[in-house]
Amino acid sequence: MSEAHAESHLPTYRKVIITLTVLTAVEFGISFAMHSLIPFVLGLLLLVGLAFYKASLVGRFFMHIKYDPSIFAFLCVLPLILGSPIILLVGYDLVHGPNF
Amino acid sequence: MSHAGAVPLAPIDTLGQTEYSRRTFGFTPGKFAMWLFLASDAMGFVGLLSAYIVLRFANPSATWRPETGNWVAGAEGAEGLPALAPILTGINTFILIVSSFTMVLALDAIQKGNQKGLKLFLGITALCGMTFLGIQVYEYQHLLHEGLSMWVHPYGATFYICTGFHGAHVLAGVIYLTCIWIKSARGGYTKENHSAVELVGLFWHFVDLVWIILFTIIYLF
Repeated sequence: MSEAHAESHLPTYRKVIITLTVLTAVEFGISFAMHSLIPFVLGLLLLVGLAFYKASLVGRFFMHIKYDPSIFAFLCVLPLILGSPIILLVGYDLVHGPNF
Repeated sequence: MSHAGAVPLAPIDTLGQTEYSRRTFGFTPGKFAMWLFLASDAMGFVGLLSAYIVLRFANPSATWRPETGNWVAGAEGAEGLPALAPILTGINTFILIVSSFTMVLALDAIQKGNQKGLKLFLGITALCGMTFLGIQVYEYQHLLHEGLSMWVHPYGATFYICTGFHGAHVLAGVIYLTCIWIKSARGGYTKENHSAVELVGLFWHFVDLVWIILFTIIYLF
């Protein structure tokens, strides 16, 4: 951790863990509602969005990306950039390929 | 990024490489190396998750988890393969989230020079990791007993490979945390020298971050 943010972040950490817990409970609610109350695609988008938001909270606050030099944020995004061809190719397979 | 304009830096040979790097760039070489490792490790998870997604959604949802048919040799029933247990795993997810919180508390403690707090919170973090692994082993035993193995169906193969790869990371994290805890019990870390605690924290948070995504994609769809 750089000297610029050597002060305590305890109040922020508490807010983050409460948010993560509440969002996990919300995910459970959406997961159950997907079978009856809301369309599958909408539920899927909500769940993926919430999962990535939760992951970003862990990254930004617990892993200190928010406070550290921006090169670490770049390193964090790098796997997604490098992995996007894989995701695009499997997506192509998903649409045009045979069923397994 | 250099602070050289404001405060003249001492020569590298008087500061040591780690401290020189920290004052010059704002981070240590070890931290940069850990981030590079995590970025490369994340690629493995991206590959596995991509494979899971293409297998999962290339199948109509009715056949992804076979609910009928006799999939287990010698079994009498024809009830298909067992469903996963999101409630139990939800508890496990909460345990991992709590362990991330205790990890930042450990780092916060040593940044204030509180060695007792460091030992306590590192110990709780390692215990949470062990509990997570214990519940995962229990879940595996249950599913194997019910007939879900890696070989019967892609549903089982992708489940065990994705969660097992993550579980291996949790095991590595617990061993890593235990090593750091042993050194902290001997007073090995101080307010000024605790970069190893920060590094184990980065690894542990990464394990938590990956699980948040894995859990949603594998258990909640």
